[in-house]
Formats: sequence, structure tokens, C-alpha cells
Amino acid sequence: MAIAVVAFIDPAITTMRSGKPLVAVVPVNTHADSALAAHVREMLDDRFLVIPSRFARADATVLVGDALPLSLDGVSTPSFAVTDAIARSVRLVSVRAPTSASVHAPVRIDFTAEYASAAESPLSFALLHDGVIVDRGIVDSVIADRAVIPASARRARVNSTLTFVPTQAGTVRLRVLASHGMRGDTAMADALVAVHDTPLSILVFDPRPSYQSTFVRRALERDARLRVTSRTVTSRNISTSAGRAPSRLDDAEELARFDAIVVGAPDALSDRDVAGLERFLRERGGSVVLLLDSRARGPFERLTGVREWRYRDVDRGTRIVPVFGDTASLRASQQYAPAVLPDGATALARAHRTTSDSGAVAKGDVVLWATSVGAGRLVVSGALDAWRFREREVSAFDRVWQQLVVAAAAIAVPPVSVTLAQSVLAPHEETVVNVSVRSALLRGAANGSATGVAATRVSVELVVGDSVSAPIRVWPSGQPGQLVGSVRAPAASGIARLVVTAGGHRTETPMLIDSARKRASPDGTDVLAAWVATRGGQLSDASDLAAFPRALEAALASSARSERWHPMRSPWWLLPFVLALSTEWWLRRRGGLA
Amino acid sequence: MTVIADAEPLRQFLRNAARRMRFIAIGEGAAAGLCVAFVLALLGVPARGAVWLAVLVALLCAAAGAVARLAVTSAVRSNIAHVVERRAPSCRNLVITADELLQERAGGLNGPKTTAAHTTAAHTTAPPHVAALVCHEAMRVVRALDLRLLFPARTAVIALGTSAALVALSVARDVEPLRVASSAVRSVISPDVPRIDELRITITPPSYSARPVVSVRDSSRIEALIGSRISLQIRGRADSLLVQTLRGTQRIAPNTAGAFRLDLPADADGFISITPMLASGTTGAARLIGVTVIPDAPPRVRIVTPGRDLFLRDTQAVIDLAVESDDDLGLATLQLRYTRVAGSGERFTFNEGTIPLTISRENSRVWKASGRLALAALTLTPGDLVVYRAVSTDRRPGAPATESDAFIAEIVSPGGDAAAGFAIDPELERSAVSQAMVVLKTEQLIARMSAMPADSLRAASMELAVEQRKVRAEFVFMMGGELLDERGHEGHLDDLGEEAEAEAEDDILAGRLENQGRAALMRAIRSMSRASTLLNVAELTDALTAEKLALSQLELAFSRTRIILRALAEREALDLSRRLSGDLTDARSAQRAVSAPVTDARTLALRTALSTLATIAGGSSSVDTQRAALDVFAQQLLGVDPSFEPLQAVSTLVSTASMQNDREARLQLERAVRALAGIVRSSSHAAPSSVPSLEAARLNGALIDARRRSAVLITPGGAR
Repeated sequence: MAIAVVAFIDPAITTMRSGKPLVAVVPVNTHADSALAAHVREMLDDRFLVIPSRFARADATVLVGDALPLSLDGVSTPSFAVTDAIARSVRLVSVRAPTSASVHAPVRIDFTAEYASAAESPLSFALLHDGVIVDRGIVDSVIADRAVIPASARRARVNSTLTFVPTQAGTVRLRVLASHGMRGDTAMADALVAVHDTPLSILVFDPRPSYQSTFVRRALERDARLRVTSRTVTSRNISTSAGRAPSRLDDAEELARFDAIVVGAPDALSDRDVAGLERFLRERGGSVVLLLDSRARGPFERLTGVREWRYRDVDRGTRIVPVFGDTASLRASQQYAPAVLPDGATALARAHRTTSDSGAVAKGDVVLWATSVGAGRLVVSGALDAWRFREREVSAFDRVWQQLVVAAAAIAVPPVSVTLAQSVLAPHEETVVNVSVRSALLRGAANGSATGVAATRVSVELVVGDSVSAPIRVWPSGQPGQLVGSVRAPAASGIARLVVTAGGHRTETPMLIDSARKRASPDGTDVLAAWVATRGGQLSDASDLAAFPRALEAALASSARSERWHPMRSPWWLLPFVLALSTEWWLRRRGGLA
Repeated sequence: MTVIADAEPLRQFLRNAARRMRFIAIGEGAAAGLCVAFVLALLGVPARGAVWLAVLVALLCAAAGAVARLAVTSAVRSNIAHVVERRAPSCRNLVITADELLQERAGGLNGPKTTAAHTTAAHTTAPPHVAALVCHEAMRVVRALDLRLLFPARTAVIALGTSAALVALSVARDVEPLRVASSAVRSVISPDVPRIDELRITITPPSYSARPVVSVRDSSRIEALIGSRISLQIRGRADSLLVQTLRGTQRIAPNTAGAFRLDLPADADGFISITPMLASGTTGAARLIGVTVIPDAPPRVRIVTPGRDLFLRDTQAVIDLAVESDDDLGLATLQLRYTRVAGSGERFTFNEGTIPLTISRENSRVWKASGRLALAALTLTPGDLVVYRAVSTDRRPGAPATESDAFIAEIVSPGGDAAAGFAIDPELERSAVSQAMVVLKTEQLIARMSAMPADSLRAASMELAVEQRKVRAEFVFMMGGELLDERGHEGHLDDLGEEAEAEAEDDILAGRLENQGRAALMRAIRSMSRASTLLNVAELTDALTAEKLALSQLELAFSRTRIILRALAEREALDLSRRLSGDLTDARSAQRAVSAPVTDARTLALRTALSTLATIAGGSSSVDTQRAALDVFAQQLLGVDPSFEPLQAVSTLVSTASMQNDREARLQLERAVRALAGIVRSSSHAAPSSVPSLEAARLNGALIDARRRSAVLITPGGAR
């Protein structure tokens, strides 16, 4: 009776006692790492009290994934990590595709893959569009520091490029597939590219007629990626123009329409013109290409930062060879180059020169170079008479200038730019969106003031088909002109558009919603291992977890803690209770009672 | 001497055994040879359709195999007794012993003489009675042996039969009755589906080429010399054929039931698409044949010796000449022509003639010739010159002649060197002469035009237009004009910029250059432009008028300002001081619309094709349902650029994909997509490199600004 009464009351007692250690098992990426996290929880369940989320008062935390989580709040110490990155034969570390691209040129998809080089089988990769392999490649050998990496963990990393040839405007989903090893292990990652047919806006401005500029303009006018507006000042108040070209370069509002300005005969620019160009570079974030065609000095030099120029005149045109990338080259006999490249400037192309005495090839002058002016880019060409060598058989005149101006215009800052942390999402997945408003961002920076976007109304909406979501909140990020927010993917699969409007400018950024989306997994195992090591833990390979529970136990100090417990909830009370009932029954039978 | 009675029967037995073994070896060898012939037939040796040649190859292989097998087994057969013993152990060595005894005895009786009916035992090492007994016993044993069982020929016969049957099948597949039978079987299986069973293509080159007629069967790509006749013999189940080429579409009716014939000229790269049709309108799978037409290259001719201009003082000099010419098919004529140019001032007279050549023919395609140009016969005087050039023709009827570079031999006038500063630049003089030559050639062409075919006249006129443009180019360069960079694909280096020319013309008309000589030159250039345009459309009479006007203007220019012309031969720099010196009240700004870039039609077509192909390859519907679309697509693709080989390969991939099963077809289409993407990629702009982030650009700009500020601060002049 007493036992039954006490059990009914169920008293709670708080005492200091030793129990199962409390371990939090936290998947770094809830989508990708949940299966492995479940496996780890199952493995630890016998010896530990496991909870599937962060808990600051847990005895230990086990992070499951390839990298540190974005936030480490609530992660208790000691910390352990379990990753399957080591066991994976191949992994796509990153895939870099442009968010938008012209339909008139191929699209480069750069990627970095990591794979177990010990397998000694080639890494093959392919680019898929609508399930069709549109490009493929193979890597036979890689450079890996095998001397310091244990044989079991030899991993090689390779950077490569695949190319997609767009055929029409629209949003294109591409998938990079890497395959490696005898088992044909694969890794996949999706990328989204908005293919457009909108030309970049270029202004060619000649303060006086210039052959160099004329022929560069003609080359640009043949490029479908560009829309070329031009003005050539032939005399005072007399000019030849194509399109709605501004009459002066000091009108910032007029210049803001253009992504890049190509200036012929820059020595004829006035101080006001140069000031206008500088504003265009700093406040518009545009690009300026100066096509020098003579050695005349002028106010333009203050943009370049060059103190001393060097002039060379060679009888026959010397090749002007690009420093990086494309092998197409110009040719020029009159070369005007800075004696010393200004601070921060980048060489784009050098004159190909052979020393006369020894015959050894020496590095020629940097005839084509670029530098930054604020957020803008300034490109200077000192190939004064490259236009004389513009025949296709002689040089790649058209191609070089088309590529150079397209590249310069492409980096011009748009009025509103939107960056998504992830553009390929699973339904309901959340991602970070960053919005930059150029006018506030660059004007503030140029003026040295921290003017924000208070005066600019910014709205962000997610559009799926014809339906528009509720406005998405974005908050100032601390930088002038920059806002940050969070957007959650809708439930339905398909293409969604993030529409951002600011200061009368509107931009659309596509998002792909697909539950079967694949994503590159950045390599954070090194950082992860270092971080857990500083917190008394270790990084374990998911393929070899047998020793992991023991390691976890060894790291946890067996400490008693104050714990509230209910003694009457023990099943052992059944025994005395049944024994008492049986004894009572036996005594009653002995006493002749029923 | 004891006679061994059983010797001869025993020998006969062994001879029979050796003969049987030889026959078996021949059978085995022939079977192996026929197997080789079968494999060769599968590999296409000899080409399909050559039935008798295939039979001959099979027989040769069989014979070679038999001989080889006989050679391999000859050693075994020479010890036939051992073979018998090995196969019949019950002989207990008696046959070998008897054979050796008989051979010993035969050796003792000097071989051939022992072929008598009886063999004696007198000279054997073994006692005669023993030898007789051994032979007797051996004979008794072998009588019980059956050679058919001892040397079974069954395996060899089966092998020979099987291999012969395989070869027969491989040969018979091209034999008419079997093809007919095969077609009949397919007709029974699918009676309502039109199809092409056999496509025989015969390419007959033009007779002048002396090339053999080529026949191919079921080929997807053919090459033919221009001017060839392509004859198609088609057999299949169809009521008519729909034949598409770049020229258009035509429907072909059968000659007899199921047999069609079609003749096409090979005049340009393209394709032939043949679609079988039934009267009900049902169409079958199309056959697509890519046609590559090989042009007949014009002959090449050059003057090897002296191979340069000569400036002579001796009017009696003799110039040794060596000429070489070659052609891809065969040369017809080789001549050396000269033009005597005599006169003074700007009044030249021209006389033409031919120098006899001694021709040595290495073969029909390569000729060498030598000759002598005796100046005495031309009665040249100082200042005169002779222009000579080699002219060669190939065998193509109506083909224009090819000329070598022209060289001059000039009799230098005494004291001419001293007057260099006041004389016409020799190069310019040549230019003036060149214009006169253009006039002369045009006159000659007008004289011949009535006897010439229209196309030859047009070709000759266009050649003259090229010459006219070359002459014009020299003067435009002299005037400071520039090559135009907006040339199309068909453009030529000598096409000149009208804008640059017009720019200089403005200067003259504005009176800034008070130089009548230059104005005359400008008018001459414009006349040359008109002449070139008229020559391009074979308007010879009008062109001649323009040419003569140009010549007269040139003479005018030369007579007035020779010294100016010499100065103008150097590259001109722009005189910037002359700029902005006009009357501004007359000047107006010019405004034009932004020129829209024109995307190359070929690139556009390729891009569209890539989109279509990717859609088909990635589509969910079975490839089988899209066969017709694939056939049409392959034709369209070939039509984009018929002579471009990579595109031909893609077209073949697409057209043959429709004949595969769904999986194979998809893989093949995927390969086609990649190949086509590669073609589009190579014809479009390079992929732009990645764009740096806004943050990186801002940071870089800020860093550069900071470094410049600090540099200004530390320099003495920049200290604040």
C-alpha cells in the first residue's frame, strides 16, 4: 500500500549524480548532411544522451558536415566533427558561372574539383544542359603534394573550364558532373545563367578625329554584344555622331547611360572632360578606354598616374601579346608605354621584343594596361598605330578590341546589383540576398561620406510565374548603399525571379527551385579540423566511425551534476510491490482468510 | 635373293594413307584461307559489288592456305608409318619396322630401281626371312585397318564447307538475285513502308580529266571533280522519289518498277537527299549524301630565269628564259608572250608577240620550258622596254589562261641615272604602263568577245577588273589613301577605302592643295573605280571609256608635276595644322543612327541548328518518332555550309542516328550536339573571362588612391 501511495505521489529528488553524457549532433547543412547526422546519432545513442540540435549546455557537440557552420552560437565544447568528404572519391569544391551572359558568346563555367588521386584513374567531367552533355573533358594528371600527404588521404585538386554555347535568350540551368574512380563516383553541381540579348552600351568619343579610334569603333560596331554610340568632334561645334551621343564628357547624367567610354585622341581632352571621365569612373563605376594615338601630353595623364612615358618606334610592327588568356595579338610599330607601370596597374599586353645583341627574348614594354579609378576601370592603349596593322592576316585587331571593350563594359557597376548566396535552392530553403544601390554606394564612397540609401526606395519581391510574394525585407548592412535580407524559396519547383527596384531601376535575378538540386561543397575540412582540435575534439572520417564513440567518451570528463530524478519511476519497484502482495496473500491464506 | 611378297601391298597402303592425309591438309588449309577471305570481305576488301574480284580473292586465299598447310604437314607425312602406328597402336610397331626394312632394302637397290613388283631381301641387315615375316605380319595388321577411320576427313570437310558457305554468303549479298530476294522479304514484313534498298552512285569525271569512273554503293559522302556527272541508280520500294539538292526539289518517277535513275551535275558543294514515297503520300527514311566538289585548280606558271626585272644598256642583248608550269590534272599549252613598249613622254606604242619555247614534259601535269628573248629583233631604243610573261592553260574547255608574274627588260637611257630626282619613279612609270596595259587588254577582249562563251567572257572581264583595282591601289596608296577594313569574306586586299579616298578629295576640291597634277590623279583614280565596277559586270565598252579617261588623266598628271609625284611616293603623315582651317560657317554636324551589328547569317543558322538539335537530343519523346525531323534537319545542316567538313560530319551523325535504336541514337545525337557546339564556338566570340566582384573593384580602387596619395606626400614636390 505504501509503495502504491508513494508511486502515485511520484516525488522528485534533486541530487548530484553521474549520468549519460549529453551530446548534441548538429548537421552543418540540414539538407545535405541530415542522413549522415542520423547515422551518427544512431551510433552514439547507446552510450550518450543524444539531442539533434545545438545545445549550449551539452557535454559535447558533434558537427556533421564538410565545413564550419556560418554561426557557431550554441556549439558547446568539446566539439567534434564527422565528415564524409575524406571518403568521397570526387567532390566539386566550387562551380563559378556568370549570373548573366550574352547570347552572342560562349559561357565559361569554371570549376574546382577535388578527388582521391591515389585511385590513379582520370577525372572526367561534363557539362549538361537539359540532360544533354554539351561539353566534356578529362584530367589525367594533377599536381599534388604527395610528399606530405599520407597515401590514404591523397587528394588532388584541379581547376578546369567547360563551355556552354547559348543559342537563345532565357534562363539556363547547367549541371557540372565530375566522375572519378573505378566505381565511377560522381559529384554534381548546378548553376544558373541568365542568357540575354541586351547589348552593352558603349560611347566612343573622339575630341578630334583619330584613325586609331575610328577603326576601333568600326570593329566594335560589328560586335553584336555592343551598342555603339559615337561622337567625333571634327571642328569647333562641328561633330559627326551616331546615336544620341553626349556633346561633352562632363555631363555625368548623360554618361551614366553607358557602360564604357572609349576615348580616341585623349590628348585633346580638356580638364573638364577629364573631370567628367573621373566622375564616370568613380561614381558610375564604369570603364574608360583611352586610345592614345600620339605622344602628346594632356590632362588625361592624371587619370593614368603615369609619371614618365617611354616611346619606341620599330620599323616593322611588333606583336603586342596579351599577358593572360586569349592569344590574339595586336601589332604596332609606334609604342608608347609607361616607363614604370603605375601602382596597382595590371599589364594586359606587352610588346614582343628580342634583344638585338644576345638574341634572347626580353619582356617588352607594357603597351596595353589597366588600372582602377575608384570602382571603375581605366584601360590605356599605347599601341599608337595599331590601326595600320588591322588586316586579319596581320593581327587580330578587331578581336582584341572587341574582347577588351566587352570585358571592360561587363565589369561596369549596374544601377542595382543583386547577389544571391545560392541561386539554386530546394523548396522552402532560405538564402541570403545582398542588394547594392550604385548611386548610394559609389557616390558616398567618392565623396567620402557614409550616405546610405535612406533617400532611395528599395523594394524586393519574389515572383513565381504570375504570382508575386509579399515584399521581402532587406536591411542596411552597415556599408552605404548595401542592404541584406533573406529570401525563402517557394514550395513549387521551377524558375522564380527576384525582382528588385531601387531609384527607378529594376533588376531581375533568376532562382531555380528544385528538390533534386545539386550544389558544390566548398572544402572546409581543414578549417573544421583545426577548429575542433582547438576545442578538445577531432575530425573523424564517416567511413571509419568505429572508434569515434570511444574517442568521444575519452574526451568527456566523468563529472557528477545536480540532477532532478524520480525514484518511484524505477521499474524495480515492481519486485517489492509484487513480493509484498504475494506475502500478504500467503499470510491471509495461512490465516484462513479468503 | 629372297623376294618379299607383301612389300608392295604394304607400300601401297602407306601411299594411300599419305595421300589421304594430304587431301585432309589441303581441305584444312583451304578452309583457313576462306576464313581469311571472309574476314577481308567483312572489312570491305575487295569493295562491295565486285563479285568476281571477291571470288578471285577467296580462291587465292584458299590456295594460299592449302599450300601453307601442306608445307606445315610435309614432315609428318614423310613419316606416314609413324602416323599410322600412332593412330593404330594395335600395329605394335610392325608397320614402322616393316617400313624401315623396306626403305633399307630400297636403299640397297639404288632407290628407283626397287620399284619392281618384288623386293629382294639380299641386301638388308635383317635376315631376309625375318624381313619377309615382318612385312607379312605388318600386312596382316594393316589389312584390318580402315583409312577412313584412321584419317577421318569429317572435320576438314565441315570446316571447308562452312568457310566456303561464309565466303559464298559474303559474295552473294551483292549478287542481284539475293538482293531482290532480300527486298522481297522486307516487302512481306513491312509492305506499306517505302524504302530504298540499294543506292548505286556512279561518278563520271569530265573527259578532259582522264580520270576513271568511280562507282560506290550506299555511301553517305562522295567527292567529285567539278564538271563530273553524278549518276544515281536507286532500287527500292517506292512509287516515286523526292530528291532534294541545294538547287531545289524534284520528284523522280521509276524507270521500271522500283528502279530509279537520276543524273546530276557536280558543280558545287552540297547534298543529295532522296526520300522514297508511295502514291498514298507515305514517305520512308531518307538517304542523305554529302557532295564535295573538288575544283579544277588553274595551272601555275612562273618564270624561273631571270625571274626579275632587267635594266640593260645593250639593245642587242639576249635573255635566256626558263619557265615552269604545273597543273593538278594536265597542261594543254605553255607560251611566253611579250609586249614591246616603245615611245617617249607619255606616248607609248605597244606591240605584242610570242617567244618560241622548247618544252620538256616531265609528265602531263608538270612542264618545263626554255627560250631566248633576243632584244635585237625587237628594235628597242633607249627608254623602251619589253614586258614578258608566261601563259599556260589546262585542258578544261573554255578555261581562261593563267599568267605568270610579268617582268620587264628595259633599255636604260644614257644619263638616266643622273636625272633620278627629276624623273618619274620607275615604280610609278610601271603603274602608268599598267593602266595602258589594262586598256590594251580590254581592247583585245572586246575584239575576242564575239567568239567567247558568256561565262568565259565574264571571267576574263573580272580578271581585268582585278588588274584595274591593282593599278588603282598603287595610286591610292600614293595619294595617302588607306585600305578599307570593312571587307566582306569575298573581299580582297586590293579593295580600297572610299572614305579615305573621299577625304583626300575634299581637300583638293576645297582648294587647299593647289596642285593640278594631284587633282588629275584623283580623277584618274575615280575613273579607274568606275572602270573596275563596269568590268565586274562585263560592260566592256563603257569600261574601256573609263579606262582611257583614267589614262589620259594620268598622262596629264605626270606631264605637269613629276617632281611632286616623286615626293608623294613616300608615306604621308596627316598634316594636322591643316585641320580646322576652313570656313566654319559652311560646316555642319553630321548625325546618323547607331548601326545595328549584323550577325553573320552562317553563325545565326548554326546557332539555330544547335538549339534544334539539343532540343531533339534532350527531348523525352523517342528518337524513333523523330526520324523524319532528323532527316530534314540533317539536310538543313548541310545546306548551311555544304563544303565545311566538320559540318558534314555532324550531318552524317544526325542522319545515321535515325537508323539506330533509341539509346544509340541519343548517344549519337549527343555527340552531334557537342561537335556542333564546337563549330559554333569556333565561329563566335571568345568566352569572356569572369568578372571581378564589386567589392574587389572598390577595394582595388581605394588601395590605388591611397598609394597615390602617400606617394604624393613623400615626394618633395607633393609635400603639403
